[in-house]
Amino acid sequence: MAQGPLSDQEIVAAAAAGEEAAFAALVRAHADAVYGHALRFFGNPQTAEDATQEVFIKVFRTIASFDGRSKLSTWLYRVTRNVCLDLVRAGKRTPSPVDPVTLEPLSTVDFADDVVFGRALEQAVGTLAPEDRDAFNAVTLFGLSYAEAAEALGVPAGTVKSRVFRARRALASLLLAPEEGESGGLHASL
Amino acid sequence: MQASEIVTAALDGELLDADALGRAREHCAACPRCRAIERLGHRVQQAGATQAPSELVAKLEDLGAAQAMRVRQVVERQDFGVIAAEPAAARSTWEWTPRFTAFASAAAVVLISLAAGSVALLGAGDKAADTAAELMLADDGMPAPSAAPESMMAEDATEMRAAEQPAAPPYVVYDGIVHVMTGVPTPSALATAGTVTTDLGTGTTGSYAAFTTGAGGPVFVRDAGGTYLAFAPVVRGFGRAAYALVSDVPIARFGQWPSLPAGMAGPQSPDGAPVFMLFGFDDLGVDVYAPTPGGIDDGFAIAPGTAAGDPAGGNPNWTWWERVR
Repeated sequence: MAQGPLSDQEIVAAAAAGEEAAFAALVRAHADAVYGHALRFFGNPQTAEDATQEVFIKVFRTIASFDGRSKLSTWLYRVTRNVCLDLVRAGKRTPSPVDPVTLEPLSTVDFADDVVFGRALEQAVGTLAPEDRDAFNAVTLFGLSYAEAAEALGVPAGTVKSRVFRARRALASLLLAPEEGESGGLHASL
Repeated sequence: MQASEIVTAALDGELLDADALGRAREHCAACPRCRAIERLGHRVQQAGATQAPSELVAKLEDLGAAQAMRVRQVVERQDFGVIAAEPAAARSTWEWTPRFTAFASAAAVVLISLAAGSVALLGAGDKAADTAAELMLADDGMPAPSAAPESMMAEDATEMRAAEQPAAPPYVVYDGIVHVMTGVPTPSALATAGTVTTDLGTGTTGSYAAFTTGAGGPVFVRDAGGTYLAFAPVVRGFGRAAYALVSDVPIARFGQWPSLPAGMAGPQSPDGAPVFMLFGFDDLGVDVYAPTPGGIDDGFAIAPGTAAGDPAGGNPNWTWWERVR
């Protein structure tokens, strides 16, 4: 097999041939995104691990049938989202709600600290409306374009864009202290 | 559209009009609220996703390696042209009844015919799809339902189902763990360890004296003629641990299969729901199911119909396995 990152087609072809490296490449490329989505969905690391494992088992078993009509990451996002939803629907897992009242804006130092910021971000994402969080995750975790996220979520691209923006605006208000001169009302429209 | 919306859309890789983007950036520089959203957008991008725990990643890679091995086995079988015949042959054949042997032979002919036809139609480009189809077969180790003779009458089918269930290996239950007979040894320094309830294959169930040579080893049962029979725990490996097949009731006769403990509800669907959820593969690539919610700290379940070569191959029941070491 050629060195360097594998393309979607190469990964699928290699997995269909039983090449261990293809499965490892899948894990290394996407484990963080899948786990990240599950963690934001359930708010519980153990449940997120269980869900991540279920996602990859499903992906491993069905990757040979991946038809390549969408990007691998789009397909993976769809599988991840469905597994999380299925776990809740089946009553096997329950998301842990996060109370936005308990969140406080980060200081400048904390904002710059990767660990502190990461923890606060995960908590804050847990307070988002599910549809906003899903769109936000698709774009920021799985690297999907608005059009790809729209395809995965079954909504227009404009809707994805609005949801992602709404998520960012909510996160900014939760995580950042108001700056001097900021007012709550008017925003410039271009 | 808000200025911050334009700026963050650019962050997301959207192609935008350069003039509009420039004006939006100018605005954000002067507007604290829009600047906050832009700042947050940059920071999220920089932070990236929360990293999956390294133990989880290692476990996923192990699962991937196990699946790769399963795929390779399937691909090799395809190369040798035995696609559908293999699962039928792989089922446990412990003491098949004569009637089912005849049925199995007839079914094998049908399967081999189907397989030969499939192989003839296989193109190199279709291999991935065929592999996926075969993996679905490999998941439960059973032949495709369509392989059964179509002309079979419903009444015959019912009788056949009863007959096709293979008898279990010679099991006894000692200390809650299922043991399988391994032979007639020449034991020494045995310690009395209680009794087991079994028929030892005689058809008459009774209580027999059991002996051990130490904890975790084989159990020796002395039959009516004074011969010692050795029984070893039925175990399967999962990672670095061994799990034993358990039963909360005696297996009164050779040929009977253990099933889930009485206090444990059985699943209502083949995927284990709602009682179990798929957790991973054991060392032989057999699906392992964990109770929901929870992991496998207390044990795990195995679905019916595992293939020959499995420690409990052919068991038609869900079974429960607990960690022993």
